[in-house]
Amino acid sequence: MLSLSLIVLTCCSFSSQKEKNSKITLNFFNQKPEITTQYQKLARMYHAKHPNVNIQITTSGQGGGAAALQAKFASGEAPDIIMLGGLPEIDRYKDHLINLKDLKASKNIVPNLVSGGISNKRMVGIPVDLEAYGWSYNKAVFAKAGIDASKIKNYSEFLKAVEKLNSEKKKIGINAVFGFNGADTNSIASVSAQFTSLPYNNNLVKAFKSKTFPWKYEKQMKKYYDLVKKYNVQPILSVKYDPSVQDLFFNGKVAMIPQGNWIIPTLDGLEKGYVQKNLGMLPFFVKNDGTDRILTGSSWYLGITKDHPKRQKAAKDFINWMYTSKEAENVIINEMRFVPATKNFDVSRLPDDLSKQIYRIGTSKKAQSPVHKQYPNGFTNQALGPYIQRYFVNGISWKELKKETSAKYRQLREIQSGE
Amino acid sequence: MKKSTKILLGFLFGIIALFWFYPFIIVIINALKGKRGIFQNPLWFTRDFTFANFKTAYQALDFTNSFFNSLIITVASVIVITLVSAAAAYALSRVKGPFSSILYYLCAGTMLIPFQSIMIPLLSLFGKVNFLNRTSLVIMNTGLSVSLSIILFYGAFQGVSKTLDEAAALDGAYPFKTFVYIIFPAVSPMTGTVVILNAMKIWNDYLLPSLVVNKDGMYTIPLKMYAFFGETNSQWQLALAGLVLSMVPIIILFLLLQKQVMTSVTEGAIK
Amino acid sequence: MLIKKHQYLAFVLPAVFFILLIIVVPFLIGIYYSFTDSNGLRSSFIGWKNFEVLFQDSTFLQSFWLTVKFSFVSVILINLVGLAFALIVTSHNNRLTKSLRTIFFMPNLIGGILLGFIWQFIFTSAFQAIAAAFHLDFFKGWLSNPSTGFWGIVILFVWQMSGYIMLIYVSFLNAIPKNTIQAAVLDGAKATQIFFFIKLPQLAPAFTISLFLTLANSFKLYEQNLALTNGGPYRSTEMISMYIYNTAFVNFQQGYAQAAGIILFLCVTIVSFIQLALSRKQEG
Repeated sequence: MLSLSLIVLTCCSFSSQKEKNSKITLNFFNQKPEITTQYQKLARMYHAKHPNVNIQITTSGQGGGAAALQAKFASGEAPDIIMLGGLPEIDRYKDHLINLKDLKASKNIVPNLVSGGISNKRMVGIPVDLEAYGWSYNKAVFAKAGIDASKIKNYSEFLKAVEKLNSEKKKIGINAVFGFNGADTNSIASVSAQFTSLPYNNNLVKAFKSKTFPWKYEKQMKKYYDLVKKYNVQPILSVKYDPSVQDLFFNGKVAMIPQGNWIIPTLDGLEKGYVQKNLGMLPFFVKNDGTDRILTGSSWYLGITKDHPKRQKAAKDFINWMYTSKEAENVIINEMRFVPATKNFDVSRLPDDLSKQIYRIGTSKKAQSPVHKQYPNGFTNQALGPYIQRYFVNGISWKELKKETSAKYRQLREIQSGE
Repeated sequence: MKKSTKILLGFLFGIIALFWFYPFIIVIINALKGKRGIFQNPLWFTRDFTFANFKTAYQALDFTNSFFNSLIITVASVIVITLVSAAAAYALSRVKGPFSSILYYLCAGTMLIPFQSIMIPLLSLFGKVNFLNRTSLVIMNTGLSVSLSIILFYGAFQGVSKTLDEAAALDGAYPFKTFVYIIFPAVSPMTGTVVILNAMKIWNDYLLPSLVVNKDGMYTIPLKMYAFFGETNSQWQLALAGLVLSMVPIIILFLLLQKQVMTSVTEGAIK
Repeated sequence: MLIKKHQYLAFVLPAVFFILLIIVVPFLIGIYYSFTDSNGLRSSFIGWKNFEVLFQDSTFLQSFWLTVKFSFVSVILINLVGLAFALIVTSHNNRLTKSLRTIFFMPNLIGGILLGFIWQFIFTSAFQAIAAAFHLDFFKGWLSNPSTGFWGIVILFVWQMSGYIMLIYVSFLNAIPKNTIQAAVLDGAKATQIFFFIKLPQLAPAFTISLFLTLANSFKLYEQNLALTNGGPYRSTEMISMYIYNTAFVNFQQGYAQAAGIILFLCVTIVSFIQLALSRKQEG
């Protein structure tokens, strides 16, 4: 019966994709909605130089990306260039992805980031940019409270600063110390990475293969969550990403939010020069021995599919152009405000000090990559996020949280690895 | 009943109705405002009054396209469903035998299966042969709707006297001709019911289209509305304008065909 | 026999084809899937493991009980409101009651996604405004709290379904012979007496129909759930359909999700057979 239905279906389905030899349209699947316009600009620039190549950008984000991508593959319309989030997603599509090892663009990748694009020892993804994870703090607010961020070197000093900020709330005009967007499971996951990444020591493949959720730094993890719970804008689960960045943080209504440099274009979009003047970043003190730094890594990797062989070369050329040409780089560092994920980059060309600092940390020997993108598919939105949210509103105890999270992590990993 | 109680009752009913209708009103009111107006007072009109949201929403929803996608999918599905199920129901009502009863119970039995219980294999079946587009959506809609439609038609054909068939046969008409020209027109009220029930269901459907035609150029109104809502980033004035646009076609159609719609819905439930 | 065998087949085969292809075959494959660890790409047979794990999965159990609770509450409310509306619109036969019928029915025309967004606006912005204007904490943060979030979905569903159920009651009320009621009025019966002793017994079949219609619909509820709360906060308002969807298409645990789908099917089947037995009894 099944095979009969398949035959019937095959007869009904007819693909009508005619591709003319001269003109090529590349489909680029983007999962970062905040930089769609800049990608479109790059596409136009490239088209101006190569009139035969059109680049069609499809954007899907805010949690819908994975499902939308799945739908594209299911319907036989695999994109030529895909932005993939982490090894679980790469693994899902590994049979569609080509090896990028010989690409000009791949030669220069920051070594730490390479393992995030590896599947079966093939390099199928190259990092989009270098992202930093830590506490973004508002320099003006810190200054009003008389706090020197550069003096905060361990957890107890951090705690002291938080308590000081809290006690002088009225004077410095903040609603609360933290503006953590508890509504968004993705942000919850990226914060959790502060406590789960160290055990893997930059080996993202190992993190991806791990069957257990690492609780090694759970004590510190709980301390931070309790601190946030106590000093955050309430109700914490109603705080969403956009208001937390564009209102609470931007207007100085909170001192800190746990976001990274992806908020730079938004902030400078609201007020030119804001970032250089006001934005700084502090690490989470996890080991608390003076070696803690902000985490640096790449959440997103670009891959090329082999579904449309005729378009592969054009896709490679476009990616090479994006990663190696000066004109593309200008857009990427000045408009997308990305910190490039390439080594031997002239750091002075970055437009603000924070980006420079991130590049230095990210390319240093002590750089640490976050691993939250290596959690199993669905773990962030369906397990970790909801459990932490429950913890924030005292819905479950820490012990239960640990138990449930571990169980779900193992279960998802086992099913997804097919074991 | 005294006149005063009558008026009082009428007044009470009016208030209940107003309360029931208020969600529609509130959506329309706020679609006609700027962001600030919604913030000031979302319950009633404020000073800022604008039609601009509709233009933005119309473009963002790619409304002309989404509307025609919805229309094409609904019309095509309803035509196929009606023809296929009327034909089958006619044969079932005229030929009694084991095959007919098996088929009847097959229809009744498949109606029990919730869509969520078959969506995963259905999707992977069609996905395996790369057949996920508007055509396959029409095929799926048909498969999901014929059972109920056959049962509705079956009841109606039972009510059409067999002497009509016999008279036609005596005149030398083939069963197909008899069906098309004599019996099918005789059940046109039921045809109306089947059309309306299925059209409403398919027009409003989200889950199945989201799995089958969730891609550029094929979006239906509910799909596009869902995507648009995500993009508006809590800019309610735009989302609400989009909602109004999305609701307008079906409400207009309903107001034109009110009586027929309400009878159809009742029949669909009771039969 | 007026229809010959090959003609008969020509009439029924298209329907058989669609039912087999779209429902029966996927259903059978689905039963097999529920015994595998399919992730959409690869799968192997694992026996009853999915079902064993499901009954220990706190999220599944929670969304299952939530669905049961939701069905119970909304069935009662929808039938009460629907019946009340039916009595209102049949109390007189004038222009007012006719337009009331239209108004009460109208929400039923709108698809679940749109309904969800409409009420999301009401529960967030409109309720917030009421809370601020009258200093009523009752109206604050309805969708960010598990229990008010639950009631939010109930309210939405009652708003959507009551007009529909009203129509069913109306058709049964209209079927009561006019002279029975008139005779009772002449005998001096009060309106309440007429309702309890004449109308209500006649409505028994309408109750069964409406009860199970709402029950079946609430068990399958998805779109309203998605557009109103999307399961939040922290998956506390995630009903079974959404659980199946998320498990299958977000987590890619397709075999596991299919096992939940089979459980949903069993529940709906059991409920339907109870209905069948009940309405047989009424007829007999």
